[in-house]
This record gives sequence, structure tokens and C-alpha cells, in this order.
Amino acid sequence: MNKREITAKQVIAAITFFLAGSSLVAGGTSMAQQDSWISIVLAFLATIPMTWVYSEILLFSPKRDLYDAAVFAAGKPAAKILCALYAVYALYVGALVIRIFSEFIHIVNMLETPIISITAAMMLSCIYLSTKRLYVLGRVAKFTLPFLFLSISITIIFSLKDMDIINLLPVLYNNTKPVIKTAVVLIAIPFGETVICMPMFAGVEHQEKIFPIFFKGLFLGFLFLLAANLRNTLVLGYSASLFDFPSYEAVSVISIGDFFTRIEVFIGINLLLAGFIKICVSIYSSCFYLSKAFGYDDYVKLSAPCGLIIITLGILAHSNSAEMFSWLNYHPFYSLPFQVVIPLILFIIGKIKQHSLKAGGSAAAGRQAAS
Amino acid sequence: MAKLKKILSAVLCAAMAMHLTGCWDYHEIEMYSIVSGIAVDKGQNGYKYHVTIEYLNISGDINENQNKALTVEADGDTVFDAERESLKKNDKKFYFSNCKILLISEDIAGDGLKQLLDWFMRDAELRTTIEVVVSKEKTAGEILHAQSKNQDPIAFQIKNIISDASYFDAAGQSLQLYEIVDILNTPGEEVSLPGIRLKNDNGVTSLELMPNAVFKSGRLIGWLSDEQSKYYMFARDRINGGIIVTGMSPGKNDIALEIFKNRTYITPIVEGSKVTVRLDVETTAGYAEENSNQNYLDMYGIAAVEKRADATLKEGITDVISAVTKQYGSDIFGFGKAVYDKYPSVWEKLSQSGGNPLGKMNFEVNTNVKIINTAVTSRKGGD
Amino acid sequence: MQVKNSDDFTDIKVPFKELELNINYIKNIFAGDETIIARYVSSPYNAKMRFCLVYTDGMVNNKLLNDDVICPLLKYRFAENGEEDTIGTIASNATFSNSAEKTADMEEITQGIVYGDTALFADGCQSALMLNTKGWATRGITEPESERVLRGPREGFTESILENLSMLRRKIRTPDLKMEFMTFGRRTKTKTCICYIKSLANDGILNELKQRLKKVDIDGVLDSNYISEIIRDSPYVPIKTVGSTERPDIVAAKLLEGRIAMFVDGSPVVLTVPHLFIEHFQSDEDYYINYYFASIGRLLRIMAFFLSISLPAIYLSLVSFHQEMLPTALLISISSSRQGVPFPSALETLLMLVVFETLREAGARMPGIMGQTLSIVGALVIGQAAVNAKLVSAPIIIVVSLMAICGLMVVRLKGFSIICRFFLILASCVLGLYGYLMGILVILVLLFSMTSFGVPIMPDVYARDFQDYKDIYIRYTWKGMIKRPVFLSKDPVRQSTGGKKNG
Repeated sequence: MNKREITAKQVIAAITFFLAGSSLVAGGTSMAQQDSWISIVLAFLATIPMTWVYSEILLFSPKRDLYDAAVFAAGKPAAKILCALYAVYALYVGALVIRIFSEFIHIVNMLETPIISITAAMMLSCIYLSTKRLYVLGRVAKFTLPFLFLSISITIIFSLKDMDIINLLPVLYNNTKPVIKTAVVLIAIPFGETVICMPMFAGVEHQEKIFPIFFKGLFLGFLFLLAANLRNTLVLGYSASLFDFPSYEAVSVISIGDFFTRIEVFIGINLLLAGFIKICVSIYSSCFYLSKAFGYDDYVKLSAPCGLIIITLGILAHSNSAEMFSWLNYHPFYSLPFQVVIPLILFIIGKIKQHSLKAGGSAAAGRQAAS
Repeated sequence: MAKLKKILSAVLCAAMAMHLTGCWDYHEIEMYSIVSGIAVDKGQNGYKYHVTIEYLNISGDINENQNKALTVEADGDTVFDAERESLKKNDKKFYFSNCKILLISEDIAGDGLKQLLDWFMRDAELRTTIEVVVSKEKTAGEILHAQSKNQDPIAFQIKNIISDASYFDAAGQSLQLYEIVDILNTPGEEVSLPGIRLKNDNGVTSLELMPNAVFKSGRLIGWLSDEQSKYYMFARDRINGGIIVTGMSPGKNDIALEIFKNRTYITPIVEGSKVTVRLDVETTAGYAEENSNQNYLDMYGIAAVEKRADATLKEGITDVISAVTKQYGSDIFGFGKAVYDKYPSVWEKLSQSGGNPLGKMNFEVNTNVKIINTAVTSRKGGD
Repeated sequence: MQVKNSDDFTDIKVPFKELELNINYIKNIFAGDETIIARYVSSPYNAKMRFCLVYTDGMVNNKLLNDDVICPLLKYRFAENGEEDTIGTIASNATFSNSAEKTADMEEITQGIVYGDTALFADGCQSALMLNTKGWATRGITEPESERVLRGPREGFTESILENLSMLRRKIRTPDLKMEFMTFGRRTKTKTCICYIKSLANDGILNELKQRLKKVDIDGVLDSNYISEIIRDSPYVPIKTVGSTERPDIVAAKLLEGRIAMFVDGSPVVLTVPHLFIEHFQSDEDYYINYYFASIGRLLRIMAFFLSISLPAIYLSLVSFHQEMLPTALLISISSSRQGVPFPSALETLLMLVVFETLREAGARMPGIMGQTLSIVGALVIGQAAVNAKLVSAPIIIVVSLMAICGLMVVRLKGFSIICRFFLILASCVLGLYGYLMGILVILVLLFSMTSFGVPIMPDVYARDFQDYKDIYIRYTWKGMIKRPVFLSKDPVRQSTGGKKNG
């Protein structure tokens, strides 16, 4: 495996895409209605300490390798089990994303196309990207990120005349409970999912500090989500919480003159791009964890099988879109162990060990000096 | 062995690629009938809905006028059912993405919008920017059937009339589908949609935009008058143009001011249990016509004319508010929402204590008309 | 003595002392080749001194041979008893030729003879003197047809490697410019030359190139493409990873950026490595004209490439999958022009593309006079007549022509864009614009995963700040382009003083 194959900026871009990939779907935000932007801010703030914990865990290993860090903190067998568990989690996240995106294409544009075909076509290109190793993923992410931001800025500028600031009022009236609930859902999807991005840091230059990279990616992704959410609420008002794909509907309202209308499919494909990167990161992560858990040298060969597992999982997971969207609200119970509990335990054990090692080391040094 | 492996994997790849050869959603554009408008009426023969669909009749001849429209009708228990029923009478599949207008008859509007609009909102092909208009004819379908003086599809004509209206008439403005759904789900706000009817002048049929209809909880309960509709637009801050007709003495309307810009600020004020809604109407206008033998500008000066216009506007707006409050008790102005946005708890009290919340509010209308020019002449001709 | 192989004389020395035996030996090697001339000469002052000149007819400059070799040879008074070292004496005293090398290597002698040199054998010497008498007809220096400029130098490379090198040398007059010769082709023995500026060229790339060249084993090299196809990265991908040009100014500019050039004898096309993707869009004229216009031109070229691969696919997706994206008026007009057309849009698009490619290929291979006929017939057939006959719809003609014009703007990517175009059309036939996006993504991934001699071909990969973008999508002023492209050169600073001398 070629270390240092990805630069800090590329990782930032990949994390941003990873977060933006979920903005297509309202998911849990519908409960909070006009206050959903507050939930986004809350979820973002709550995720910052967690990413700090993630970065600290990675720092246990001099190679910034998650597996080595886990071995340091919990021992080899436990690390292998953890890796296997996280591989399953990464696969599931990938499956959820690919399901949501193919569901989106299916409902909005391609009613007659079987979902399996859409999924297979998407996965084909994702697997192709994954077999080209991590650095291609990073490069593509960095190259396409400006286009993503350009497109969202354009839609915001063009929909300014349809916006109504009153749609945000009243703020937090009788509504704190749904806001908190939504924030929790948002932590689970997509903010906490950044736990999946951890293996990417094994490829970054060792001098680079991890937390700033994590934070920048998180912040950019947060900006994207917030901007998209505000645009949707300001344009659509209550209807924003009604649609399954509010971004798509908000953009469909845009009409400049009689000609510059109906640009929503462009937004669709733009968001699809984010979905691609997100799926690819998931594939990469699951390959990484799997190769660590079972002791393979090269993760790349696992990407095709992982991709196929994701397809199958995506199809089997939910029987229809309504079920899928309501499941998103229960998602936290499933993902919080992966996002919060396990990392926290690892972090605490690791810190204690580090501390005792340091104490032991200085004690030994002291003994040496004495003798 | 290696060769066999290669062949096998090639066969497998080909087999999987079969998934992608479907072109399922590939539809030729000419296989669609492009729908321009839909009208929904009460159904006959026990059906709930009677749907009339207007679609474009496109011929291959480039030199011919392409905008000829045909109609087809069908009954059904739901709108979608009726739409599918109507397909039996047409050789091509209907394509709704360019549907501009949804016409509803008065009795359907009286039954409530929420149930009706669900399909229009849910279907992916229909756009949420479709305009909704209430028919003042007996049925909505007959408007689409009308043979109008120009050949364009009726739905496109209605769309044009509506989009022009906000700039020239200062009256009768429609709402788009997503806005209606937004209002239906907002506390303290009611829908108001424009009406449309056919006009027959010397055997030539044309369309006429009518004043707005008043809805309560999504049900049609009455109509505004022409004058009310116009001042309703002022109160709703939906004025983009149009004229204010006023006069130097009450009852004499001989001055026309052309509106360039209008902005209405709605501010709720809560003092103890008293709720006051203040409307500040800021209008910029031009002195467009003076239909009298005198020279008002010289006689009274612009400031006086402005004052008169202020008074006219204030009177009109106050009238329409009190009339709607008394007659319909429906908050088509969205005052309740303004209160709710700022003082949610006050609104809660207002709406829960029973009765008409609009009636428990006080209104204060401040108008400020500013004349910025007198068109191309500053003095009266003939002086 | 048995000759081992027609082209393998390695380590064979001139075998005999006797002149006739040697000449017979040579004639034996070239048996069946009647252009090899052996001219016997003997000194009028000393009958013992006999010589033979062996050369290829037509490859030598006759006047040069007569005046500078035969004439002084006949006039020179050799020592009575014969010289100790006849060949050495001739080389130093009895010839005017600027290059006279004594050799006994049979390989060198045969090579020299077939390359226009004259071999001079002397009786009693077991070696020969190689005299430079090269002289054959070459093409004059003209502006290359395929790379014309409105403003800038108008010379182009010719088929002669030495002339080409001299053109380059005239532009870069520094001892830092290194030229290393190599020979390729087991049978053609083609001379090639690697050029680089020592203090600028990246050693890693240079070593990589030499490594790859060492492995080349080919029968004949008639054009530089023979070599570039063997040494290039990702040989099965239709994107060039080795640059080529016929213009000396371009080669000089690339050397100054730290690239390495490779000249091949017999071909006016010079290779440059590494070759980045953006170089397809850069033109030498960009640097000779105002930078605003140059930047606009470059952006237009990039846009044209994008359009030329995307237009048919996007049209197809819009018309057959995403009709909701068409404004009503456009929808009506497309729909009406498609009434009565027998083919589905997808087939129609493919058909028109094939027709276009046929026309283009026919035009490229056709003598100039017939081109006129072709354009008239082509325009009539696929234009007016096909639409009137309702064989194709009018919009598709517009789309294909627009695509063709865009494609002509970036001729250098012709092959790649044809393949991309068809690939994207197929992708959009399956999933509309979503399929198109997936296709674009695959192309992007391909581009970003490719390298040319260890350098990623997409410049965005290594661009870190604005300085690195100054010569990518736009052409910044010379004053501001302080650095050479990173990754390429050892010495990144082009000019530290903003184009002005200090003091």
C-alpha cells in the first residue's frame, strides 16, 4: 500500500462531499420544519468534539493507521473484531446512500427503470473509481468540489427572488423537542458518519495535523448542508418538510425569464456526484477495514466484492421508500455505538495506556539515571 | 485454464451488462401529447371528478401554427383515475410537465383544496409551479372548450393574463401550487385564488380575469368585488404595477396614478391583550392622467394629490379588511401568520379562544403615496 | 567468411590487408545492392598507393567527393616506400573533408556507407577512413501544415535530424542543452536524439525515459510514433501521454519548462515528455499574443472540447429522458420537427455521427480539388435534403454541426473525443443525464488516474496555489509567471524578478 498517496486538501474535499452527499434528502429534518437549520447547527457543534476524539485515536498510531491505533488501545483480537464491525457499518452506510440515490432517480425521473439497474450502473462507476486507489478518489473529489459549490451558489442566487425570510419564523416556538430530535438524527446521518472517513488519514502526509483537516472538511460540508437547507426552507416554506427531496423541488421553482427554468435535473446530477464520492469513500473504508481484519495486504482487490455487497444490502435493506425514510429516524440507535460509544471507549483506554507508558518511560529513565 | 477463466469472466460481464441495456425510460418526444392545462369539475354518473385535459395538437408541418389545442374529458373517483381514463380517448400518453394551469370549478373548490391538490403535488411529472384558478363559469371544463379569438391554447392564454395582471391591473393574482400548499399548512393564513370567466363580445369569445375568491380552511366561501380584490392585493403586498384612481374631492374619480413600485409592511403590535396589526403601504407612482378641466397640479400641488391618493388607498384597504372580517371571517391577508411569526403565544390565545381571530385584532393602515414624476408633460396641455 | 546476419556485424573488424579482398567482402555484404559504388583510385606519383572509395550512389554529394576527397588524394605526394600509416596520413594530410575518422569496425563502416559517408580503403591497411560526404535532397524548411500560427515563427522541422537539431540549437544557445544520440530499429538503424536542458530537466523523468528506451526492440522506426507507442504510459488508453510537435519554438519552450524532447531521424515530428492533458489545449500562439486573448482562446478550446463530447449525449438525454427540462416553446418545436421521422432519436444521433465522421475522414484523405465536391454533397445530403425528406429531424443536424465545429477547435484530441462521444451517448441511452454524469465521472477518473512518466497528466493534481494555475486554464502575463510548472523541473523558478533585470 502506498502511504502518503493523498493530500490534506483532497481529504478535506472528500469529507465535504461525504457530508454534502446527504443534503439531497430531507431525512429527519422534516420534524423540525422551519427550525431545521437550528438542528443542523446543533448537530454540527455536537460533532466537533467527536471528530477531535477521532483524530486523537488516529494519533495513537505513528502511521495514522486506525487498525494500529486500535491494536494499541485494545489489543490485537479486539482490534480485528472492531475492524470487522466497522467494515459492516461502512458497507451499510454505502448501501443506504446508494439506495437513497437510486430511489431518488427512480421516483423523480426514471419511473420505469428497475431500481436494480440504476443501482448497478451507479455501482459500476463507483467500483471503477475505487479500483483506481485512494489518490484518484482524492483528486476527483478536489477537482469537482468547486463545481458543487458553484452550483449551489447559483441556485441560491437565482432563487433569491422566490425567497421569503418570513418562512423561518417563528423561531423555536413550541418546537424545541423536535429540533433536538432532528439534531440527533442529523448527528447519525450525515455528521457522525464521518467516522467512516478515518481510514483515509493513513494515506496523508504524517506531518499534517489530523484535527484541522477533519474540521475543515466538516465545516465545509456543514456550510453546504446549511445553505441548501436554508434555501429550501426560504423558498418552499412549509412544503420543504413535505417533500422527500426538497432540494430538487426548491430548485424546480427557479424561473429566470421564460428560458432559464427547469434546471433541477442539473442539481440532481450535481448531488449525485456527491453521492458517488460518498459511496466510494464507504467502499474504500470497508475495504480498508476488511483487509485489516483478515490480514490482506492490498485493499484494492476487495473493492469489487464490497461494491456488490453494498448493492445487495441496498436492495434488501428496505422494501419501499416510505419505509426507508421513516427508518432514517431510528437510525441513531443503530449508528451511535459506532459513532460515539466505541470511539470514546477506544479513546479513553488509549489515553490511559499512553499516560501509563509515558509514566513508565519516565520512571525507567529515572531509574537509569539513578543507576 | 487461464483462457477458460478469461472467457468465463467475459461471459459473466456480458450477462451483467444485460441489466443496463433496457433504456426503460427512453421515450420519444413525439410520442407524447403535451398537456397545457387541466380543468377539474364535479363528476357525473356517480364519479367524484370530471377532468378535462387540454393538450397541444402538434403537426409535423413547420409552417403551420403549432399551438392548436384539443381537449379530452373523462370521469373518475380520483383525479389520477380520471386522467388515466382519459388516456383511452387519446392515442398518445399525456405529458404533464408543461401543464401551466389548473382550473377548478366553484363546487370543487367548495369541497376543499387539500384532497384535490394531493395528486398534483405528489406526481413527479407535474411541476409545483402550476397556477391554480377558479372558474366562474358553471363548469371549469367549458372554459377549456371555448373557441377563443386567437388560436393559442386556453391554458397558455390564462397563464399570460395572470402574469400580466400583476403589472397592469393591480388585481386578481394567482398562487402557484407550492405556495397554496404552504398556505394551507400555515396557521393564520388562508388561500385566495383569482377567478376566470368567458366573455362573449359580439360573438367573439375571450377570457376575463375575475376578482379573487375567498377560501376558508381550503374551502371556497365567497368572492371579493373588483375594488376589494385590488385593495386586497395592496394589503397582501402583491402589487407590481397598476393604477390608483383618485380625485381631489370625494366621489369624483378623475386622477389616475400609475404605480411603479409598492411595498406593504405588516407589523403586529401586542399591547397587553390588545393585538394591533399595522400596515405601512409605501407606494411610488407617476401622475398618469388628469381627467378634468382644471389643472390640479397648479391648483393644489403634488403634495395635495399625494394626500388624496393616501386617503383613497387607506379607505380602500380598511374597507376590504373590515368587509372580509365581517363577511367571511377568513384571514386571506395572512395577518394571523404575521402575529404567529412574531408572538406565537399570543396567536395561540387568539385562535384557541374560539370565534374569528381576525375580528379580535385591530388594524392600523398607514399609506404613503409618493409621486415621482408627471409623465412627459409637467403642465397641462392648453394652458 | 560467412556473414552471420544481414544486419549484425558487431565486433567484426576489417578482415584483410589486401584492398581487393576487402572490397569483395564489402560487396558481398551488399550483394544485390547496385547503388553501392566502389571507385578505385591510385596515386599518379606512386603506383603502389592504391585506394578504393566505397559509397552509396545518391546519398553522397558528388562535388564534395570529387573536390575534397579524390582531387587532394590524387595530388598528394606519398612517400616513395609507402607510408607507415597510410590511412592516418590521408586523414591528416590528403583530404579536405571536415570529418575523417579511422575505423576498423565493420559495423561502423557499413552504417557509414548506407548513411551517405564514404569509406576509403587503402591497400595494405586493415582499417578504413570514414569521410563525411553526406549530401542528399531534403525538403526545405516550411511552416508545418497542421500547426499554423497567425503570429510567431514560421519554421518547422524537416525530415533531417541534424537540421532539426540545428534549428533547436539556434534557439537555445547554452552549453546546458544536452543532446544524446541513440539508434533504434534493428533494420532501419534510425538515429534518434534526446534533448534536454541539464539544469532544468527532472532527473527522475530523464532516467525513466532512458530506462524505457533501453527496452525498445523494434524492427524499424519510420516515424516518431513507432517509439512513442512503445515507451508511453497506459498504452491502451486513447489519450496521448507523449507530446508531439513539428515546431522548433514549441520544443524550445517545452525544454525551458524542464521537459525532455526526442528527435527521430526521418520524421519532422518531435516527441516531448512528459505530456500533460492540458497541453492539448495550449497553443504556441498563446504565448505570442496578448494574454487576455490567449486566455479566452484557451478557455474556449476547453469548452469546445467539453461540448464536442457532450452535446449529442445531452441532446439525447433531454429529448428522450428529461423532456421536463425543455422550455415549453422548445419542446413544441422539437416535437413538431420529430413528427414523422422514422428513426428513434438515439439511432438518429448515432447515424448522424457516423455520417459526420465519414465525411471528415473522406475530406482528410482526399486530394484538395475534390474537397469542394465533398463539402457540397455533404452539406446538401445531410443538411437540407435529409430534413426535407423526413429522414432526420432538424435539431439533430444543428446539434451535430455544432459538435463538429467544436470538435474542429481541438483537433489534437480528435481520437479521444470520438470515443468519449460514443461512450457518453451509450451511457445516456441507458439512464439519461444520470448516465451521462456517470460517463463523465468514468472519464474523469480515467484522466486523473493516468500519469506520463511519473507525472499525473491532470495539472490540478499538483497545483497548490494560484501560481500553479497561471499557465493552465488561462495564460497569465510573462511578468507574473514566476515559476515553471511544478513536478516537471528541478529548478522551479523561471524568473524571480518579474521579467526585469535588477539594477
